[in-house]
Amino acid sequence: MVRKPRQTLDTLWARLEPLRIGPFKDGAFTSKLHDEKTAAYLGMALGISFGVAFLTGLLSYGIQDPPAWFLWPSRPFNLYRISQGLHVATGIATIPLLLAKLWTVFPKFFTWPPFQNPTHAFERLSLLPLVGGSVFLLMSGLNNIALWYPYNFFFRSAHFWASWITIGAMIVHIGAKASITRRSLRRTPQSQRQPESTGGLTRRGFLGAVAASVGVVTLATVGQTIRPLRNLSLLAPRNPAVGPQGFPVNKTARAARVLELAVDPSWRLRIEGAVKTPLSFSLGDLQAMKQRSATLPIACVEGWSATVHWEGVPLSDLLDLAGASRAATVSAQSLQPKGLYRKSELNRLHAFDPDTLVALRVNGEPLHLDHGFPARIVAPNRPGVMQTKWLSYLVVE
Amino acid sequence: MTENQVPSGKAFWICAASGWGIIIFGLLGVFAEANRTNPAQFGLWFVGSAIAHDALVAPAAFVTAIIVGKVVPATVRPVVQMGLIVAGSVAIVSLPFVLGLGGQAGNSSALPRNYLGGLLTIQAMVAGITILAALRRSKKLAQPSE
Repeated sequence: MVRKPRQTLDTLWARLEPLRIGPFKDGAFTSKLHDEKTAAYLGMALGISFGVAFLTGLLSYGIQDPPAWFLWPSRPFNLYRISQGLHVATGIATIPLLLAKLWTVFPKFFTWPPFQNPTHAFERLSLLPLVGGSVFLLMSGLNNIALWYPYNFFFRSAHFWASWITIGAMIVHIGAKASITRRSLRRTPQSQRQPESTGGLTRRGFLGAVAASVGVVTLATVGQTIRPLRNLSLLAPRNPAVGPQGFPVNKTARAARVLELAVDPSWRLRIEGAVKTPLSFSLGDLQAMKQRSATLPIACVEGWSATVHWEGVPLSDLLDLAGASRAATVSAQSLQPKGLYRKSELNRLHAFDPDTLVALRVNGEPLHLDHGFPARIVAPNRPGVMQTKWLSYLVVE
Repeated sequence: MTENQVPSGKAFWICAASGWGIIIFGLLGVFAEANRTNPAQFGLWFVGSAIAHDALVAPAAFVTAIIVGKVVPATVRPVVQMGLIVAGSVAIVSLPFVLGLGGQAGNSSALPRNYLGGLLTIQAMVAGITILAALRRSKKLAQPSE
């Protein structure tokens, strides 16, 4: 007689029964907070926070590495600052949420039998990319804002692909748990409610503590982008008022290896490519041209931002002088000898925005070497890493 | 375990198919950009993250809960547990800053604060609020009910 697979599986679990020790035993976890309702509330919050982080993250990647159909506007000038500030703040706020959710569902890790049928095994297997990906994203994101890289992969790429894996696993999880979540979140009739325990935390207390944790870690870090809160944010990796000329630096001239090149008197800014007249400007030439000032944020991918007063030559004036088409894109290239951010592309909206400057001065002074002396690009609504410092070439395409 | 915890139905399979499609897209991306993602390292840290949580963070939380259950009087236990949840969350978020392993040589604007001092200040505030709330709760429970 041929045994059915289900019977075989049941026999296997029965044989393994003696191995059920420690957390695998029934009743090993006594807290009532390992329940479906608590998990459902936290799962909903995580769905929202990961959703926000995923969308704002995707936007940031799209801006830095745009597909052909994507034209990121130069206005409103603060939009990237808000979206990336939100991305990092949401990521930090998600840490207590995720830890609480994992704690709540931790007993399910030791569920017996480990799986009941292939569908169940498949659903449980899908938890590995969910848990691994969630923890990986928050861990690597937190390390990135601390500029700590204890691994040999490029953060941006690893974080990007891990976010797809995690979101995919989250969709599988939502499909598996949607009916349980719906059922759990229905209001329990008064007559069926259990009296609150006096010996431990209630669900309301637990969720309140998690919400308080979210509030505290947010307040402790968000001052890196919300300037009035900077003195309250005791754990913020940046202070928007601290740095040369009153705002932070992401990469110093020394780290970029431009200490000598940037102060070389023979420095020239060259405009080449699809122009009628290739041009070359010394620093004196640029200083002698009509200057424009603009108050624009420097908004870093690491989530910090600072509002700064810039002065310089409008990029559109230089492009018009060279005879570039108004539909042109511009590659701004740095003196930096290598690095993924040694050049950036300005689409036509950014290149010809009146506030896009070849900036020469900041906050009333010539640019500090660490802020890109002798000249840098500053454009509204762009990531800080694309505001190319130590400018040497503008290649029109 | 009840049968209804085994997922089923059309909606589940639609989510499962689309979700795994996206997971595979992500995995393909990791290998397509292997020069930047270093798949072996990526895999190690990805799986390691899950293991680190399950083998270290979660057991530490459970051990703490057991100690609190044995040491802290039942009347104030919920308040202490709430305080510990907040304090633990702040400690984990502060780790890369307090350990000082990041930053950039010669860049005084990166990690410009005294993070250990900041962490201790926040923890002292959390502890203070927890103690006040515990005292208030003890007093309230000690009062005879009308």
